[in-house]
Formats: sequence, C-alpha cells, structure tokens
Amino acid sequence: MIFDIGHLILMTALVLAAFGIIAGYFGGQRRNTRLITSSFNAVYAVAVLVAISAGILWYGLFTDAFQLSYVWNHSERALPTFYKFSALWGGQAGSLLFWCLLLSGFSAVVAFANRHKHQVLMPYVNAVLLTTSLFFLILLVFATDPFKRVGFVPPDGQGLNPLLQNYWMIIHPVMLYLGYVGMAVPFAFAVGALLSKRLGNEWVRTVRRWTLIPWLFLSLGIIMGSQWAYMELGWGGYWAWDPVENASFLPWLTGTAFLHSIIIQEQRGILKVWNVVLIWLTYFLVILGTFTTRSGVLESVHSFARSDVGPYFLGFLIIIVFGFLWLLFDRLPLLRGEHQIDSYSSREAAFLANNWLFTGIAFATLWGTFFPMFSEILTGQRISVAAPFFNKVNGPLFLMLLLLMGVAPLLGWRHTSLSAFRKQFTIPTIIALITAALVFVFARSLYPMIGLAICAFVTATIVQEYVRGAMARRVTTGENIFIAITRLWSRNGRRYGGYIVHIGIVMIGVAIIGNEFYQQSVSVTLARGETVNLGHYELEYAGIETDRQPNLMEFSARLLVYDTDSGQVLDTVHPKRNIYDKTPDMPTSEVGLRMTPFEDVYVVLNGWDNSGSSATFTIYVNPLTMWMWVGGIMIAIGTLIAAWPHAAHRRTETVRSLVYAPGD
Amino acid sequence: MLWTGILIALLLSVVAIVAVVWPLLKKGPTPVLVEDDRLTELLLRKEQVLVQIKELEFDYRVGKLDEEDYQRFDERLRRQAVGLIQQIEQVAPESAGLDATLESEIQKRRVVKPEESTPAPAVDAGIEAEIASRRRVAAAVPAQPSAANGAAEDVPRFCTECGSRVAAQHKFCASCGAPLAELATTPQ
Repeated sequence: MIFDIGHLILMTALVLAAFGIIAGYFGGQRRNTRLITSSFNAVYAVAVLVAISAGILWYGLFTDAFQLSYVWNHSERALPTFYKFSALWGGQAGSLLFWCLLLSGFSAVVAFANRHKHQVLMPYVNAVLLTTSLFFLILLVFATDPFKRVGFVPPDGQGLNPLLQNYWMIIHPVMLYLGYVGMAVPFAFAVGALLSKRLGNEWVRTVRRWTLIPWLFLSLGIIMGSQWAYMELGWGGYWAWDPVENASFLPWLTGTAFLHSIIIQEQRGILKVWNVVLIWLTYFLVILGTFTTRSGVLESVHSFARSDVGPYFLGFLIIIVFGFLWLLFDRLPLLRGEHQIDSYSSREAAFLANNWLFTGIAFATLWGTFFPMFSEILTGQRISVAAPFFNKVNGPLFLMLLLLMGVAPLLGWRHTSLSAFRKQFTIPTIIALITAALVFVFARSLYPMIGLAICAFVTATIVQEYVRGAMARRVTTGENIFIAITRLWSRNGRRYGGYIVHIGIVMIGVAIIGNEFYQQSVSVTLARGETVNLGHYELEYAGIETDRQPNLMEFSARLLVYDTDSGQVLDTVHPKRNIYDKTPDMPTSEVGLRMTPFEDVYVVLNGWDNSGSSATFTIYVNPLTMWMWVGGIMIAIGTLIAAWPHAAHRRTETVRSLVYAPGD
Repeated sequence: MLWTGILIALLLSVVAIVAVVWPLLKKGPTPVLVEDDRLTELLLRKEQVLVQIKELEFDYRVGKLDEEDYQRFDERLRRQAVGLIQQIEQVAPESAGLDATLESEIQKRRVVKPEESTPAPAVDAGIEAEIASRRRVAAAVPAQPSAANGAAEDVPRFCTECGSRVAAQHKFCASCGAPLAELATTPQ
C-alpha cells in the first residue's frame, strides 16, 4: 500500500513541476509576483514529494520488500544495512529517482537562497530547474517505475552488484550525482539570463559559486572513482578512459573551462556568447553522460532500442540542443562583447587559450568515446579506441594546459609589458630548467622530463605568487607573513584558493607521470615461504586465510614486504578476494597496499590452490601515486577557500538586496 | 488497504497543490514586480568596475604590470566609474544616500570582528573617495541646468565603456563607438 503512495505522489510532483514551469515563465514575463511566488512554491513542493517518494523506496529496501521489482533485483536479506542504503542508486530506476531527489533538493536550496535576490532572473531559473526535474519525473512515472511490482513476494532478493559493495561506492556516486545535478543550476541561470534579457554581469557573478560547488563534487567524485578503481578493480591503474569514466570527465572539462572563462567576462566584458555556450555544453554533457551510462548505447547500438529510457533521453537531448540554440540566436544581438582583446600577452588571451585546450580535450574525448558507436552505425563493425588513443591525443594537450596554468596567472589583464614579463618569469623558468636537468640525469626520457619540469615551473609560479602577494600586503599593512597569507585567502580567495586547486592539479600530474612512465610489475605464482623481487622490494607469501562475512566469503592472502637493501620487514600486505553467495562467478578483488609518498607496493591476488599452499599474484610498484589523493584533498581545500563567502561579497549582496527592496 | 494508500497519497497531493496554487488565490490586484532594470544594470557595472580597479592595483603591486600600463588602465577605469556614477545619480538621485544606508546595514548584519574591519574598507574607501571627488564636479550638472548648454566643456563626461573623455553633445563615444546615455539636465 505504502508503495502506491510513492508512485502516486511522483505523478503529483510531475504535474506540479509542469505547472511551476508555466508559472515561472509567465511570472517572469509579466513580472507577476503571485505567479512568481507560485513557481517558488512549486520548486519546494516537488522537492518534498520526491523526497517522500525516495524515503518510501528506502523503506522498501530496509524492510526487504521483495514484492518490489527494484528491491528484488538490487538487494537481499543478508546485505549489510549500509549497502541497503546505497542500493537506492545501485540500479536504473532507483538511480534516476536519486538523481531527481538531488536535483529537486538542489533546486529548492537555490530557490530558497535567492528568494529575495535576482527577482527578474529567479522565476526563469525556477522554470528551467523544474524542466529538468520534469524530465526525470516523466522517466520515473512512464518509463522506469521504481515501485513496479513483481506480482508475487519472492523469499529473497538477487543481491546488489558485488562491485558496488564497497564503501567508495557509497560516497563516489553521490559525489558524482551532486556534481552532475549541480551543473543544472548555472545552466538554469544562463537560460534565465537569456530569457529575461538580463545578459550583463548579474548572472555571471551569481553563478560562480553555484558552479564551484558542483565542480568540487564532480572533481571529488572523479577522484574517488579513480580511488575505487585503483583499490577494487585490481589492474594496477586508476583511469582507463572507459565510457563511464569519460561520461563524468566530459562535463568536468567544459565546466572547468567555464569557471575560467566567466572570470574573463567579469573582468573584461568579453566572451559572453562563449560562456553561455560552455555552460550549455556542460549541461548537455551531463544529460548525455546520464543517458549513455544507462541506455547501453555505447556497448552496442542495438541495446539502445531495448533500453526503456533511451528514446526519452534522446528526445530531451534534442530539445536541449534546439531549444537552446534557438534562444541563443534570438538573443545574439544582446550578447555583444564590450571590448576586444587588447594584447596577446595578456591574461585574457592566456585564459582563452586555456579554454581552447579544455574544449579540444573534451572533443577528443567525446569523439573517442562515441567512435565505436559511429563505426557500428556506418560500417556495421564495432571499432573501439582504447587508452592509447586518449593518451596520445590528450597527453600533449594536458601538458600544454599545465604549462598555461603556470603562465596565465602571472600575466596582467589587458597587457603585460616585456619588463613585467621578465620580472615574473625569471625564477620559475630557472627552477624548471634545473628540474629538467635533474630528471635527465636520473632517468633519461623525454616526456617525464618535460612533464616534471612543467610541474616544477607551475609550483614555482604559485609559490612566487604567494610570496609576492604576502609581501605586497606586508608593505601596506605590516602584517606578519602568516596573517598576510590568511588575509590573501579571505580578501582574494578566488585567486589564492584557485592557486591551491592548481597545486592539487600539479600533484595529480606528478602522480600520473610517475605511474605512466615508471610503473614496474610482475605476475608470479608463489609457494608458501617463497619470495619474489620487484624494484627494491622482496615479497614473501606467508599464507591465506578465509573469513565468513554475512553475504560473502573473504579470502585474504598475507605477504611480507622486505627492503632488499637492508633486509628489514617493512610491512605486511593483505590482498583479498571476495566471493559472493549470490553471484559466485563475479568475485571482487581488494588489493593489498603499502602506500608511501615515494611509491606504492600494490598486490593483487589472482588465484590460489585449494589448500592455500601456493597462490598467484600480480605485483606492481607504482611511483608517486599517493600524490593523486593528496592532490584531491588540495583541490577540495582550494575550492572551499575560493567559494567561501567573504566580506566584500556580502557587501555587494547587501547592495543588491537594498536596491531590490522597493520592488517587494 | 489499497484505498488507505490512495487516500494518503491524495491527501499529500492536495496539500502540495494547495501550497503551490495558494499565492494565486489571493484577492485584490496583483502586485507587479517593479525593478528598475537600468539602475540595476548600472549599479552592477559600477561594482564591476570597482572590482577591476582593485584587481588592477593589486596586480601592479605584485609586479604584473609596469608603471606606465598601470597608470593608463587605472585612469581609464576610474573615468569609466565616474561615468557610471554620473548616470546612476541621474537615474536615481536618492542612490547618493545609498552608501550611508549600506554602511549602517552592513554594520548591523556583520558579526563584529574588530581586527577584520580595518583593511577591507581602506581599499574601497580610497577608490570611493577619489571617485567622489570627481563626482562632485559632475554633480554640479543637474544643479545648474542652464550651465549645461553653455559651459558643457567644463563638466567632464566619460564613456562608461572605455573611460575616454567625451563631449557633452555626443551620442556615441568617439573612441570606442559605444552608445552614450544622454546626460539629462533634469533628473527623472
């Protein structure tokens, strides 16, 4: 009975979302405050109804309501409660409901936070956000009902996909979804600006923080996904350029480009068309990513026809493309830039190049991801492009991007003279050359030499920026260096928080270079007590243990890690295999890991004989991998500094609320 | 049992629908949002120019600009700001009092942090004061409508797009071609 409620209120939410779109649009057109209030209430009501509905599905999962097809297919009695919670996004219908839940929640937060601001813009923003919600509600009501019945009550469920039974899999999809869903907000502001013809700086300034937050979620989601792949998939790496990964990476690329190019619009009043196009691309890629990971279109074109959501997504994507382009062309005269680029040795020119690179990488990745589909449609044969294609095309582009990351912040807006140029670049260039020489002496290969030199260059520019910024503050205020740095964050968090994010990116770059060029690996079968050497480690197999868990059997091997030089035991690692009761043919792996700042010893248990007297392993030594995760943390810290509301911002917000006050 | 479920769902739906439709059921004439689009635009532009001035100064202090470039761009931006402020005062003469209201409003809202309040306004105040001094010259325009025709050359007028000085009678900026708002002699 309770599950009927879940389905029925989703239908009500659908109707209210449709109504709210109309109320928002006409409220905005006529500036009718009653319609506008109604659109706000529609946003809140949809959020509440979807939340109740999701609550009901959770209730079904927790109470093992196997009469629901979704619960039956994605849960089982013995599943730990933890994973029953995350089973909500373990399958298609549930994950779409979860998407809708986060989206409507995000929309409600946006509406509430801006209820007294941007009064001309907000009704349209509500309408656009509700349009996205409406689409997902249509899917939930007509295509994949999460409350569909089996017709009888099965005694037990089929279990959750073993790969998803991992703590990273609880948090990683949530982060990605928050990032995905959040990108609908800046898009809604952009479309709101186009509809209301308010195409000045208002939406750009507001949208910055609403983009930074989902961008942070998306970045963390991607990094946590890599962490999961590294720890669970057991092939020694963290990124394989597979379509699902690319689906999350594509909007990240365009979103990052957008975050940079809105700064140019704010500072120089140029690139107005480009900015709305970028955020539209980001939103489009978000929906496309949600689509491709669910329709199966990338595995085979034929599975698209069998997918029950495919045609809906295709229709919505077409609406997004044509609706937006029509609106854009209609508003084109209002998007005229205020200035031209003054000089190519200026920050805006460097930012523009950054944008080209980001979009270039995005297009190469998109092309590579969809190539198998195109080839199947055109030739009937499926030709996949794999990691080497992506690395070959994107590798050099990323290196250039990294270089620009060092160069751009050192240039001034409008024009940088030769003397200023020299003043800014001398020290970082020297440091880069020294690094290149050092790498050349120790490991003679070209790419890592260039890559690490660029990393050193960028780091040097950032340190120099901090030192000069703090000195400039000291000269005027006499603060000590620590206070000066914290003031740089609080007074100019956008720039100095951004530098911390850049440091994070450099760290990730270093980790990638280490792994790409200096990874070592070996596959061996070891009898108990036998050893193998790799790098300057010696590993000894010491036996295997079994452990019974509620819904699986855990096999855990034990290996001692010795230092070959000193002969000392450094660590014990435990690579594991889990064999699930419901899906014994899909064992999962958990790597044994010794992590140090310098390198990881990474052991995968491939198999063992029945007594455990011998076992087969793949062992990797992955240099510098830890810096990838540290880099992720730096990105989070830096983004928070950049997005933190500070005094100057509050001031402008106050100005606006006062300006609008007479209209209330 | 099925009917109880449907009943609860109906009840929830009705509550939600009423909440959404409620604002439309109120009696009396519909209040219409009055927002001065032009004023909002001008205020936002002014804010933006002030941010650019600060950023420029900071870039100069950390050595990203040489003296000559700095002076040139700074002058341009300040003129732009003056141009914008002139227009704002015309569209909304009461906005002159807005800064005072604003400061008191900020004081009210701000959690008191004595050590933080000093450096922040210092920079702003510098720019505001400097612009205010120019503004005073400009402010004389509406006060002396007759002088606007004869002695127009005495009143500095600047393009809000590029900051170039423009003649009083021009409709477009001679330097960048941007359309110029007319400096009306009588405030609206």
